[in-house]
Parts: sequence; structure tokens; C-alpha cells
Amino acid sequence: MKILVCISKTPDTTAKIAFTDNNTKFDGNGVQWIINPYDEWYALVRAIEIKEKDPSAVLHLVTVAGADAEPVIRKALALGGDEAIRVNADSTDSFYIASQIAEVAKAGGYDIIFTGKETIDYNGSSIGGMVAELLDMPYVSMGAKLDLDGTKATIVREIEGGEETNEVELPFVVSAQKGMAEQRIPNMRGIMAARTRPLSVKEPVAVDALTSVTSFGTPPPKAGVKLIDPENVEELVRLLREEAKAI
Amino acid sequence: MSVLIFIDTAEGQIKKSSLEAACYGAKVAEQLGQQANAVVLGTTTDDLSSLGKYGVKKVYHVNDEKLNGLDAQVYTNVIAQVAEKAGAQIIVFSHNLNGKAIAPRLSARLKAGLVAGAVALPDTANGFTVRKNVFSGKSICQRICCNR
Repeated sequence: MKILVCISKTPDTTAKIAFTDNNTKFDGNGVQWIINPYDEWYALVRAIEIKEKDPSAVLHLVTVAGADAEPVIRKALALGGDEAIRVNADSTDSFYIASQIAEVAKAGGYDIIFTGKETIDYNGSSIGGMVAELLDMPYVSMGAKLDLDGTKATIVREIEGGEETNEVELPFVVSAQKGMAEQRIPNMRGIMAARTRPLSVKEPVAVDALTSVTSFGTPPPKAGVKLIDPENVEELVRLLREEAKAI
Repeated sequence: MSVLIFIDTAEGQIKKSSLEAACYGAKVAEQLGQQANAVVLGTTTDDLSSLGKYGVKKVYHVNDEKLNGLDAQVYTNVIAQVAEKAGAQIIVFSHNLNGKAIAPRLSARLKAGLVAGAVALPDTANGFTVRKNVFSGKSICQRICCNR
């Protein structure tokens, strides 16, 4: 069995978000980069668990990023994984990134492709679905539990107001979220082994991005709470109608 | 040219989030001088003509019980065909779990730009630029779509 886990580099959750170049680029200066938590805690760890159960399984990691992502991908390799592939490109367009991952996946012939449910920077939730479409594979989104039985997987996914159990034949793409696995911390043996595990760099294939970012900004400040006297219902109705536009 | 809105249902009833999507799609259509159409998949118990109240002019209803459960691959096939038939230039989904499962596939199928989680009406004066939250709500970005 061959498993591919998509890894994304994201700013630490506590990082200060700032922009440069007239608010058109994210300012990475002084930012602590981490593995996207959904990729690490759920997608990668579940893939490692599968490999631990079936040592013949091959686990590859893929990222689409510049050379500055290598410490992050090495950290992912320290958790587990036989080798990593970095597609040497930087883009904020989901279709461009998914196309690069799909090319790697086509060449590797993977049985399971894991992604996190979203990245915590661009919050797109779109890579898994796009990769599945580009590879003509089934896709189960928001997977919270995955059990493998031969060539069949049973995946529990979140739906509104509950959960749904899906059965899917290999190969497939799944996006992982809370419940899929428990977070792990790399041990010293893994960190040392990761130094020598292969990390190959591929040049991107020519794909046109379908979207681009024109500018970044900060959300408008939240308005303060207005307290209305319980007797003053007319004022409450007026504010709901004229300011909140809720009625 | 038209705007197509995917109307999500649960147990045959239109989800409330889809009504918001219908309003949004109708406003985008009005902005562009286009018609707002909707697509509904599977059997329904709701009166689909009620979508007219939200600005939808025409509903494409694929009334097949095989479509009652979500299969993103099948839904993508069907919506792509409806989009072609309706001459859809823009397709609107709710940013809910089903929307997140279908919209990326459809985007890749149609080679159409995807903005996930739009929070405002688009600026269509020069292309199609729409605002979305990024960095888990700590920032917003204007994203421009180059296709569809």
C-alpha cells in the first residue's frame, strides 16, 4: 500500500499577522512556521498508524512550497514517513497547488491520499476535493475516523447535525479532522532518522492559477455591546432594524 | 450567461444556509445583469417555487432519489451538466460541509476559480474580486477570480 500525505507550512497560531508590499503579501519576517495542524495531528498521524499496522506500507509526504518549508517537512518526517517530495513553487491558488499534488500522486500511484480538512492560513478546505477530481478518485471530506479492511475503507465523516459512515474502495482521497488520530510529538530517534530520509525537490508543472490575491487587510473592529433598558423596547427594535439590520 | 445557486437539502427540505446562498446569488446576478438560477438534486418535500421569493428565476430540479445522499463525484457530474445547460458564469454554494465537499471538485472540473468562504458581495467593476476571511479570521483578503 502506498500512502501520500499532503503537508502545508502555516504560521504558528500565535503568530502576528502582518503584510508587506502595500498589503499584497504576507509578511513572514519573524514568523514561527509550523506544519498545518490538521495535516499533522490528524492526516499524518493516521497515515503513520496505518503504516505501523502494516509495515509494508510506504508513506510519502508532499508539500508545494519554497525551500524555506524544508524544516517543516523535516519535522513531519521526524514524526513518520519514508520520504518527502517538495514541489518547488509558491502559490496561494488552490487549483495550482492541487494540480502540483495531483502530478506527484499520478507518478506515485498512491492508494490513499490524506489532506487536513483545511489550512489555518487560507482556510480553503479545497485541496482534497480538487486533487480527487484531477485524479478521478472518490473523495471523503471531513473524515473523523478511518478503518481499513483490505481494499475497503470505512470512513466516518461529519455532516450537519451528526455523522455519516461511508464505505470506499481504494484508491481514494480523504480530508482529516479532529477524531481521526491523536497528536504525537516527534521522539529523538525520529528526529535523527528524519535527517537522512530522502527529501526530493521537483520543479512544478505548468498550470495557470485560477485566482490571485489582490490585497490583504484586517477585519473591521467589532462594535461594542449596546445595553438597552428592558423597558425601552422601541429603542431595541429601532437598533435591530436600523443598525443591526436583523429585522 | 447566468448565476447558478446550488440549493442543498436535508431529508427533502431546503437548508436555511441555501436560502442565504440564494439571496447572495440573486444579488450577484442583479449586479451583473444576469439571471439567477438554482439547482436542486434529489427528491424534495419543500415547494421549490418558494425560491422565487429569494430572487431565483428558474430552478433546475434533478428529481432522482439516487441523489438524496451526497456523493461529491456524482453531484459534481450533475451540477457540471446543469451549469453547462444554464450557461452559468458563476456558481454559488453555501460554505457548509456539503458545499466544501462539492465546490472544489466542481471548480477543478470546470477549471473555474474558487473562493471558499466569501463574506461580501463581489466587486465586479473590473473582473470579479471578492472578500474572504483568512488566517482563521485574523485577516481578510481580496481574491480575484480569473476564470468562469
